[in-house]
Amino acid sequence: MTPSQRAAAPTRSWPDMERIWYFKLSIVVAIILVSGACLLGAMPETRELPLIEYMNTELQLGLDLSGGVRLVYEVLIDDALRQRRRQTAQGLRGLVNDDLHIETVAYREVGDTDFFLLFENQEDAAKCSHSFVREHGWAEDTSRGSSSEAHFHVKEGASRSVRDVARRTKAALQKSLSEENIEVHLLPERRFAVEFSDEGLLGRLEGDVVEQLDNVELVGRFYRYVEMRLSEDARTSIVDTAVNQAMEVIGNRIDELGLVNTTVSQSGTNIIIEIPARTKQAEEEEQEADTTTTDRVAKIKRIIERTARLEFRIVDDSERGIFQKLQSTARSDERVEIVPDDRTYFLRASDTKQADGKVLPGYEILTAFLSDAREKGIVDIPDNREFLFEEITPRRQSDSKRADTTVERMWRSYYVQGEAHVTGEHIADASRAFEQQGPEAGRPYVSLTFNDEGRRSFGAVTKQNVGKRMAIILDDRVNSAPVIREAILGGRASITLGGMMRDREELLDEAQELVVVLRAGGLPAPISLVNEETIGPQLGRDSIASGRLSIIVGAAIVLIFMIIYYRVAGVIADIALVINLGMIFAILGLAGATLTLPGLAGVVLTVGMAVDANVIIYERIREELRAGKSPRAAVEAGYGRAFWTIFDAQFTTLIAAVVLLDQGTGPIKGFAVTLLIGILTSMVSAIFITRVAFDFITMRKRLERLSI
Amino acid sequence: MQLIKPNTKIDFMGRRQIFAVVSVVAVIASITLAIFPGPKYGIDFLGGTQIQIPFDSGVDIANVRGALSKAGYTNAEVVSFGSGENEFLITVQNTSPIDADQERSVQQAVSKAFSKQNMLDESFRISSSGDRLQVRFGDSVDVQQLEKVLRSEGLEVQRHRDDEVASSDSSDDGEVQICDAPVCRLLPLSEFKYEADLVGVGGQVLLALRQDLGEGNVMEPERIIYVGPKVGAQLARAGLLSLLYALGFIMLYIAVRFDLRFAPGAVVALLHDVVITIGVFVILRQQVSLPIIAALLTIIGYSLNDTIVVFDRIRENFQKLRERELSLVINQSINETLSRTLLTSVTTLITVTSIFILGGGLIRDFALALIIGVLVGTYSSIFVAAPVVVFLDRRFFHKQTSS
Repeated sequence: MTPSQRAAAPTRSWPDMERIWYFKLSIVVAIILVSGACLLGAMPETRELPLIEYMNTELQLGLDLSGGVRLVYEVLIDDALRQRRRQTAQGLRGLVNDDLHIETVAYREVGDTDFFLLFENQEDAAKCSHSFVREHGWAEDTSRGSSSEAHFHVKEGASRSVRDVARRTKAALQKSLSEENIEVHLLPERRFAVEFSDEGLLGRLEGDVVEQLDNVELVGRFYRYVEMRLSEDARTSIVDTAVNQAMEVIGNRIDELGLVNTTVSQSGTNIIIEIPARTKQAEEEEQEADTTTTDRVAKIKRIIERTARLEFRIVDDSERGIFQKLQSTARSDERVEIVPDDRTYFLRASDTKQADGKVLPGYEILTAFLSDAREKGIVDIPDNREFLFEEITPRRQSDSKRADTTVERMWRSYYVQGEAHVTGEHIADASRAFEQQGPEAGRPYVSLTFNDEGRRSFGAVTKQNVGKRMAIILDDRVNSAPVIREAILGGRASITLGGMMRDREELLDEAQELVVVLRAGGLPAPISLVNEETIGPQLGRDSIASGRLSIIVGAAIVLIFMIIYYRVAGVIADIALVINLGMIFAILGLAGATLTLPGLAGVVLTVGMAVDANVIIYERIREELRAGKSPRAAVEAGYGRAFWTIFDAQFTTLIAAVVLLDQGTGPIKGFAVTLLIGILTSMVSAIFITRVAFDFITMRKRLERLSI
Repeated sequence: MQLIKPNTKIDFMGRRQIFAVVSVVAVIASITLAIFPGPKYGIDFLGGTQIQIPFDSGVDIANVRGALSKAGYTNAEVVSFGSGENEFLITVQNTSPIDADQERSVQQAVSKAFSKQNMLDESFRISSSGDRLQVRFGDSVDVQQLEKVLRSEGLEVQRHRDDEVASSDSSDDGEVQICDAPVCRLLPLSEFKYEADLVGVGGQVLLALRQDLGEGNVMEPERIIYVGPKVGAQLARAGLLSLLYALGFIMLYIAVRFDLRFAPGAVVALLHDVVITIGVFVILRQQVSLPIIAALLTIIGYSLNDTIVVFDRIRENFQKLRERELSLVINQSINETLSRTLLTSVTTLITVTSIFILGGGLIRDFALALIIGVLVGTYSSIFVAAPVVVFLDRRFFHKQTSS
C-alpha cells in the first residue's frame, strides 16, 4: 500500500489515532521531565533542590575544563624482573644446597631475566637435573652449556678500575694459556668472571698462571653451569602484578593525600593519574599559603614516586663471633669502632669529612668496611643475615655551645635476620601522634595499627622472640630497634622519626608524609614519568566559558536559520533540538561521563548534525507536497521514506564514533562519547518528537497547507 | 524559503571529467605536500614539551624568543596564545635536555670517576624525560662526589626547595632518604643503586625564562605538557590504526546495506576528504595533533553521511524510474538531494565556525579541520562518490547492468 492510498482510506478511526498520539505525547513529556530533572541535578545552583538531591547526575569535568594535572608513569618492569630473578636465583641456590647437598654453588646474572647456576664439578651439575629445576620455582631451564668459568676478586689496593683489571687479566690468560676464546664478565662487588669455552683450561688455572696475574685473587672455579630463565608465565605474572600493585598503591597514596575526584587508570604498563585542580576557594587559601601549583605538583610527584618499604625484622644478638673477628680490622680503621652494649656489640661510625672537604656518611663507611671484611674472608655473613644501620646522633641541646657548629651524625649497625615477618602490607592504619611525657614530650611520631594478618604475625613473632630486639626498617634504614618485652598482641607499633636536628615543622611534615606512604603501602617496582600535563584552573574556567558561548551562539544561529527556512516546521525542529541538547547533557550526567573540551565540541557538532535528520525529512515532505499529495499524506511519506536514509547516514557516523571511543585516550574519548550520545538522541528527537508535533497538526481535519 | 529551486537539472555527471581532474590534482598535490614538506606534527606525536605561560606586561614575544635561544633552545616555537595579552605558548621539541652524546659522555665520566666502584654499564640510565638518572655500582659510592661529577658534566641536579632550607643550616644534605636529597641511594644495601633528580626540559625552560626576564616577570604557567618520545610513537600508531579501522567497518556496512559497487565509491570519497584536509593543513602550516586525528574521523563520518543520502536516493530511483542508464539515475538523484546536502552543510558549518571563532585556542585547530572537512566532504559526496560508482560500473560491472 502506498502512502497516498493510505491517506485516501484511513484504516484507523480518529479516536484510535488520538489515543496513540496521546501515548506518544506522554513519552515525549516523560523524556522532557527526566531530562529536566537530570539537568537540575547537574547544575550546582539547583543540585540541592528537594527530590533532585537524590539524583546523582553531576557532570564530571575533564582535566582540560577543570584544570589539573595528568601524570603518566611507566612501571619499570625490568627492575621488577631483576628483583624477582634475584629472589628466584637465591631460592634455587638454597634448594640446591639443602636438597641436593651440593655445597658451593654460585650464580651469575645475565641480562634482565637470565642467570647461570655454577657448580664446582660436573657431577654436581648433573645432579641438578632438569626436573629438579622445573619442580622448584619459576625458573625455566634453557640450556646446559659445557663452558666453565673462574671468578676473580680485584684486590682493594688496585689502582686500576675493575674493568681495566679484567681486560688485562683476559689478555694475560690468553697469552699464558695460548687460548683466544676467553670472555670476561663484570660481577658486582669488585669481582669478574673469566669464561672458557674449553673446560680443560680451568684445570690449568693454578700455580704460576694465577700468581702472575696482577691485582686479582681467584675466588672460585666453576666447571659447569645450568642456564635459567624466568619462564614466560612468570614474566607475564610479574609484569601484571607489578603494574596492578603499583596502580593500587598510587591510588591509595592519592586517597591519603585527599585529592578528590582523582582517577588512576592503566594502559599497558603505563599508569595514568588525573588530578583535577582545586576549587577556587581552595586555590585562594593556597595562595595565602604561598605555594604555587608547580610546587604542589612537585610534592604530589615526590609522594607518588616514593618507594616506602617498611619491614619488621628480628635482630640477631646471639652472634658475637663476627665482632670478635672484626676487632683487629676495626682497630686498623680509625673511623670504625666496635662498641659493646648490654647485649652484644655493634659497629659505629660518624660522618667523616674527607680531605677534599666532602662528608662521607657513616653508613657508607660501615658498608665499605663490612664488604671489605667479607671480601677478605675475615667474616662470613650468611644469606639470611644482613647488617643494617641506624642514625644515632645525640640530640642537640638548645643551650649547647655546639649549636652553631655542625654536629656529626653517627650510625650504628644492627645484625638482623634476612626474613621480614611483618611488612608494610600488613598495616591497616597509620597516624601521627605525639610523645606525651619525658624529655621528648611533644615530639611527633607515627603510630601504626596492623590488619588481622599483621596482628597475628606480629603477635606470633613477638611471642617467639620475647627478650630479643625487633628492628623497624623503613626503606632499608633501621628506624629503631626496641626490645620485645612481651608478646604484642594488640596489633600496634610506633615509628619514631630520625634526624635529631630538625625542627618541629620538619618533623611534623615528615611524619605526615610517612603516614601517607605507610597507609598506602610500598611500590612493588620503581616507576618513571613518561608524560605530564598541567593545566591551570583559570585556563579550564576560560575553556568552559568559551565552550558554553560557542554552543549558545552556534545553536542560536541554527535555530533562527531553521525558523526562517521552514517556518512552523522549523519551530518544531527547534523545539526538538532544544530537547535533544537537554537529553545529551542528561545522559552524560546519568552515565557519569566526563565532559571535556573536545566533548563540548562534540555537542556543538551534534547540534549541526541533529537538524540534518529534520532537513532530510522536511525536504522529502516538500517533494511529496510538490508531487501533489495532501499535507497528511506528505508527512506520512516524508517520515516513512526518510527513516532509513537517516538511519544509514547516522549509523556510519556512529561507526566512526565507536572507533574513536575504542582507540582514543583522554579528551578524544570525551569527544567520542558526546558524539555517540548525540547521534542516538538526535535520532529520537528528529524522528520521534517532531513527528508527534506534526501528527498534532495533521490531525486537524481540514488542513489546506503545511507551513514548511 | 528555498535555497535551491526544486527540480534543478544540473548536469553533474556530464561534467564529471572536469571535477575528476580537479579532485585528482588536489589529491596528488595533497599527497605530495604530505610527503614533502610533510605535515607539522604536534608534540603529541613527536614528543616534546609545551608551556603556556603568561608574562608581565613588559615582556613581548621577542624577549621570550631571545631568552630561549640564549638558553640553547633555538628551535623553540613561541606563539601568542590564550586570553592574556602577554600570554605565549612555547613549544620545544626536545623531550630531554640530555642528548645521546651527552648521555654517553656522562656515563663515561661517572664510570671513570668511580672506576674502583665498578659501575655496571647496562644499569646506567637517564629517563626519557631527562629528569632522572639511575646507576648501579659494584660498591658504595659517595653521593656528594657523584653529584659533583654530574654537575661538572653540565647536568642540572635538582634540589627541592625545602632541602635548600634544610641544607643551609646544617651539613646533613648527604641524608639518604628516598628523594629528599639531590642524589640518593635506593634498594637493599648490597645493591648500590643510586638515583639523581635532574631538571627536565619544562623546568629548564622556566629556569631560563626566569633568569633572563627576571623572576617577577614570569608568571605561573597555565599549562605544561610533556610527552615522552615513546608515547608519541604509540599515539601515532593508534591514530593511524583507528582511521583504518573506521574505513574498514564503514566499507563493510555499505557493502552489506547497499551494493558492493557502492562501497569503493564511498571509500574513495572519504580518502579524498581526509587527504585533502591534511594537504590544506600542510599549506596552512597547522599542526597535526591528536585532536586532529579525531577531527579526521569525524569528517569521515560526516562526509559519509552526505554520501549515503545520495546513495540512498540512487537506490530508490533505480527501482522507481526503471532507467537503465546509471549515470542518468545518479544525476537525477544528486539533483533531488542537492538542497538537503547544501542545507546540512550550512547548519554544520555554522556550528563548527562558531567553535572556531568562540571556542578558544585549545580547540581552534580541531574546528579548523572540521571546517575544511565539511567543505571538502560536501564537495566529494556530490562530485566524487557517485562518479566513482559510475566509473567502476562501466569498467567492471557493465555487462551485468546492461543485460
